[in-house]
Amino acid sequence: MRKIFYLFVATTLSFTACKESELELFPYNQKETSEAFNTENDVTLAVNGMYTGIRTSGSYYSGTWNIIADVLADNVILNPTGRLSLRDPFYEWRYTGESTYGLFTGGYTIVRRANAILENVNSLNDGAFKNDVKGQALAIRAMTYFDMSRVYSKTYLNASATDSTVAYVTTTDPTIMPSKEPVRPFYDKVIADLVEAESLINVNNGVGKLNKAAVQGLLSRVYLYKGDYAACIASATSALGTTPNLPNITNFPLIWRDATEAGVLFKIRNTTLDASNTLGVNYYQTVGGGIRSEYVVDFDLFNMYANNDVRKSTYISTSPFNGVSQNHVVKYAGRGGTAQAGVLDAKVIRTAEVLLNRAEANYRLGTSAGATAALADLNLLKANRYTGHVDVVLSGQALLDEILKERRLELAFEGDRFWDLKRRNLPVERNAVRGEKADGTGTPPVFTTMPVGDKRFLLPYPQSELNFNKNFKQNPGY
Amino acid sequence: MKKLVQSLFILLFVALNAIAQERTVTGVVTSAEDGLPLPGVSVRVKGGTASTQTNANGQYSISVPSATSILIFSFIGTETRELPASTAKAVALSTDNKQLSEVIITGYTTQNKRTVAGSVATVGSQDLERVPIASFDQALQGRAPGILVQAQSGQPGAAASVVIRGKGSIVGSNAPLYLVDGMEISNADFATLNTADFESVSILKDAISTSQYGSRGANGVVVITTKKGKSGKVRLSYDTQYGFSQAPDNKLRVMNTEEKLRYELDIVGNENLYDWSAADLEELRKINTDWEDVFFQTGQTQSHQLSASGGSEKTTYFLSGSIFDQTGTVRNTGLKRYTGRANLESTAGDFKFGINSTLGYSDFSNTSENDAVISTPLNAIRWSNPYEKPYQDDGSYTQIVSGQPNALQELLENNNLRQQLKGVGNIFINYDAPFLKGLSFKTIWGGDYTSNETTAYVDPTTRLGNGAATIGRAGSLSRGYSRSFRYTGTNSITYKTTINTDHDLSVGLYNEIVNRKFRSFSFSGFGLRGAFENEAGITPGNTTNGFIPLVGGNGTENALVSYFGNVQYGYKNKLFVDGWLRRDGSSRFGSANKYANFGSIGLSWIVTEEGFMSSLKESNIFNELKFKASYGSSGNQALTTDFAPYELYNRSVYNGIGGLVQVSLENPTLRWERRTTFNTGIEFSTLNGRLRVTAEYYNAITSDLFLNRQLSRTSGFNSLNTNIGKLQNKGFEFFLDGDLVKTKNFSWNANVSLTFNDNKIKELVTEGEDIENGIYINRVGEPINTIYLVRYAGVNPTNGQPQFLTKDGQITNTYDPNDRVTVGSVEAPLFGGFGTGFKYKNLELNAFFSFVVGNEVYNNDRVNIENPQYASDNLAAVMLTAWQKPGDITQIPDPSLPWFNDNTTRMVESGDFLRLRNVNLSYTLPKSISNRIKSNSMRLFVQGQNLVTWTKFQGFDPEISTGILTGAQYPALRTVTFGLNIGF
Repeated sequence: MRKIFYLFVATTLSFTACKESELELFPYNQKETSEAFNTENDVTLAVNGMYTGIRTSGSYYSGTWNIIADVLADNVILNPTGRLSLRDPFYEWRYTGESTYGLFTGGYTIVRRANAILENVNSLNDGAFKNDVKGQALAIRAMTYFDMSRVYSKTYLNASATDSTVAYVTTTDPTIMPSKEPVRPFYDKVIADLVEAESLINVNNGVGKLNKAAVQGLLSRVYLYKGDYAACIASATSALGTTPNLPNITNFPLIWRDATEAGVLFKIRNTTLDASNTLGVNYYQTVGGGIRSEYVVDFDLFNMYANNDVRKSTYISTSPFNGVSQNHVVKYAGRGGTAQAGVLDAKVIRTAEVLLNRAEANYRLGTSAGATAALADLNLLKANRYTGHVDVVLSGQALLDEILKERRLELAFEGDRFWDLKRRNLPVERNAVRGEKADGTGTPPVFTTMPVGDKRFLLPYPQSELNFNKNFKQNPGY
Repeated sequence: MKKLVQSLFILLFVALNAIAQERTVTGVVTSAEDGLPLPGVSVRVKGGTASTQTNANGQYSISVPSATSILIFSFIGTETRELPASTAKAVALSTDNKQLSEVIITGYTTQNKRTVAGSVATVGSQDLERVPIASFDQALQGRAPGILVQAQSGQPGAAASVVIRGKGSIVGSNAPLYLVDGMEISNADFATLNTADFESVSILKDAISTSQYGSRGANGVVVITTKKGKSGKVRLSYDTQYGFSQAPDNKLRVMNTEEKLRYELDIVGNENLYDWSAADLEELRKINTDWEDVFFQTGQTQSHQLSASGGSEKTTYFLSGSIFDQTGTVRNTGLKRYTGRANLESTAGDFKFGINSTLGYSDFSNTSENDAVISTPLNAIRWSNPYEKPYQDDGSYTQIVSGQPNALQELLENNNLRQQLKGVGNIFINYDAPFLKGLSFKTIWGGDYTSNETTAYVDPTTRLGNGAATIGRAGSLSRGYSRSFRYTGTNSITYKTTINTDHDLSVGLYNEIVNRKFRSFSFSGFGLRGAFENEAGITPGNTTNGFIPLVGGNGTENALVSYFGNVQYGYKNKLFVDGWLRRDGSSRFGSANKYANFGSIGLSWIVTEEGFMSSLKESNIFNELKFKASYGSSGNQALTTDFAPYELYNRSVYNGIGGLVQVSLENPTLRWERRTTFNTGIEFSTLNGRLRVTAEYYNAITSDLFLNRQLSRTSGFNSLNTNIGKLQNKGFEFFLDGDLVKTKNFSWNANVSLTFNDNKIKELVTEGEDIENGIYINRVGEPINTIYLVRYAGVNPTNGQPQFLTKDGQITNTYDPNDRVTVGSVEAPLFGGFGTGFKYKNLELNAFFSFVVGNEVYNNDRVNIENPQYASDNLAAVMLTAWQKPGDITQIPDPSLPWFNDNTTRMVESGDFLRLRNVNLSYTLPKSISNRIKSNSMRLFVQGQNLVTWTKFQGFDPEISTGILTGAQYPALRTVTFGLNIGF
């Protein structure tokens, strides 16, 4: 009997001893940071995760980014029989600290993923892979910060030394309580990141990822906002190469069906299986075979498109809804055929924009050589947009006006207009008479003018950040 | 008192003279009720070591020191008797109904109720086994103080929400810990367990009772023990029930055809909504569909159970098998369940070993509920226009004119099936050390295995199969499988001794491991255009046809390793002290706080044993009076994820390739919520034991609440789950049980259970900052889930506009969210039940009521049918009283106003109700008849469940555990069943 007693004690003790290890469990379908960046394969996954952040962000390239700068400005007019989305906060400029939450948190979510890569990538061996990954992360971070800065702040040229923008966070430490950053040093950080990225990143990373030319294109954009025209020209030239890849009139519509990569330096992939139709739905839904628009093309803008402009038929479709003819934005109709409507890759930067950046920068150099180069770029673009184009000869203000007009026509409904007006320190002036119908009748906008210097050019920071982070101050006037 | 002193004296004497005079006493023990022999009764010598059990014929034989030795006869479910050996030839034990002498399961230990210092409510099998509901938790409603049971659903097999002594967690789970024969089982998943197998349910509520479960005990513990075999002749028992269910009365009336057309034509903006022509209208007026009739049916319930119990003196068994078949009150819903159980126990020398096991299989057919989805049939009851029929004259489904789906088509063409397999069981070995009396070793291992296989077929002709959200999919077939296995292993060493007769000491040391592993996978295939409504019907997908299947899967695991101990001390059988200490290690918490300690101490004192009480005792003022108090802590580890403290990355997809994205931040200091409870109370019986009362007061503070601490959004995260905040639940519990009349032929008893619970938030993340969550606010000083809305103040008779109250109580026409005020909580402050029973000879009538008072419910069901913008579908009849011209006094604003906002108190209603929960009339056939078929007992009964509910709530049922009735309510069944119970 005593033996059995010992046996009992022994078994009791034995699994008492081995039990501590029972608490060491690991998630089934999740990984810890310590396991997530150890190999090149791990880091590739993290890079994909970073791009996923842009793909799924409800406020950036798969969210409202392709419409918000148009809604805020004068490219579109509200369709009162639509769902009135974005009307109260954005179209009518009545945003509060709650309306801009996604733009703020969405941006920092993407940035965090980039920062996590930059913090952890050093464990890898030096080499092309590591460089490229660093380059992509730096560029994504810079690009996102630049976009956030365009939302919340004055642009470089209009900012004083004390004007501030979002914080340039470069850590994954969640306990930070940063203050805002002055605009000018902020731009310098954006540029520094992009310049470093340019030196590190691969020339080719496939569709849907950043590459050297895309980074150079982004640099040309930032330099233009900064007013550093020589640098803008240099970057643009690097991005475009000696013969810019500009799709011609035949191929241009294919960009908007994702049937060509020509002319697209960087886009966020949204596959058939991802099936996010936000880009399309931002503009309209199909109801009973008709197009029910949220916003239709502004009457004046519509009239700026010449009939021989391929962009007119590519971007706009005039058709009746409920018996009323309207000019609908069909730029994001989708890939066509049996593909789901509204599902499309989000174009971040195209050669056409880089060309226009360079043209404008050349013009603004104020030299005759610059004007010549600007005119050449303008004619190059127009030759690929207008059927039967004959080179124009323009100079002075007329040349600039034509470049800026082409910029508006080219980048309409692509998330540029409001920021561009802000950059050029121009007011928003909507046509106060014309309505949403194709013939210009209908309901004109209630809010028509945002004068230069209006507080609403700077969108307010989210209240939840200000409530918690007392170092972060609201924009003036809110 | 004198008697006790006397017997103690004798005991002392006996002990001193134990060795001197040995003799053998024999006798027979019978049941006082029916005179049948009772096998398995424990017989022991008071103060001595000798003990035995009665054999199959109720006979015993035991050596006693002297003829004056006292023998103690005890048996579960009967009163314990102490008799001098000389008078113990024939002992009749009567069923125990004296409150304080009951033996109850208090978790790891079993105690005489007299000694229990904690707050433990017990519900016996008689209150559970015949209730015609598959999920046993629903049968607990109102049965015991301190436990609030709310059925959110009447869908066959649905579990209830169970909250013990108020919610103690804002973010974490509030579900109690459930154990069956010592094995932890998953909460809210009881439909595949046979309630009739349960012997008793103990509900542990205070710290001394729950701290033994450490980090799992804070929400209370429900301890279930299953029936054990009794040695002796085989006892066979057959129980059957058959009955019918109906949906309860609807208190939210919608319009009939005449009313709806009048509303469309005359009231809502004076526009002919659908441009009905005169001929159309004539046709429509011929139809008046009551959509309740379309979806509801008379449900049927039938159950059969056969059980056998018996065994030798060494080995006993309990076997049972059951079938439960219930069809719901909504067409195409139901549950079929099959269970089997084998409980065996055997003694071999100093060893005792056994197995308790059950295996069950359930087949569920469910419909969507508790949502506001248009294709949900239970919403169509509200929303479908009365002038439409579900079928056209040619038998095809009607296409609803408003564009809504035909919900009958959705219900009948689609299906949602689940097969559950559940096994709960354990094996144990107990060893009583022969070298030291009272020392035992025990090891018990077992588990809870549950697998669910789901099949959801969505027909391509239905809205679900081809609506806007599923365009191009042409129907779908989704299959899923999940399994969960949790094992529990407990080793214990216990020692029980009596020192100098006055001091009873019992010590236990325990070591336990609990581990749960969960896995699942699923797929959905599309293109169900073929001949099959199963996997064979799926069209293989490619990018051209778009039928690319969706696949998924998941898994998780958690573990708990614990060491704990218990000391129980009794002094002169009148003063008892009980203490627990437990150290838990959990896989769920971070390195800094992986382990936590919990402990408690409790005291109970039988005041009537004291000399100064003897006059009160003898004059029957207090036959027995017990005072008790306890203090201690237990924890809550139930976060929504198993790996909350870690910085984790999830799978993502970019450009068709996998990626990883961070989903959580690290918090290595994350730890348990801790609930510290003070509990005190008295239990007494008076009037010769005919009135028994328990009254308790408790004060529980939950500290280290799981709450989200805000972060700067520049970090890319909003918040971090942290332990901050405090919450208080304090209250009174009251239980009264009385025998009003007790004669040979007629008895009448009544009982009342009452709980007042006061829930209050004491601290939140940041001082002065509220946590808003939808219509709720969590604010310091208010109960959790307090409704925070603008007060609605009816309609301005002059212009028909809705009116509100500002924060200061001024009437205004402007809705401003800044005018929101707290308007009561969805947590019930007062609830309970009361019951009564009559017995006349063989006829017995029992009725039981349950009630809830003082909670608020947000009725979102009304939101959708009191909104004039939804006039294309049916609306509430009250909309006919909408304001139409100056001077109209009404609650319904002018329907032509474009503005509708439901975020006001207009949709908030009182959740008060009183319900006749169960009424049961039974008749036991006289022996002369039952004996003719060789039966020991035959009983016939008829019972009604939920027959009447008194409430003002506008809906089918006021029982809304979540506080918001989203819509599509599947009301609790109103059931009448007839039953038969035969014992052999």
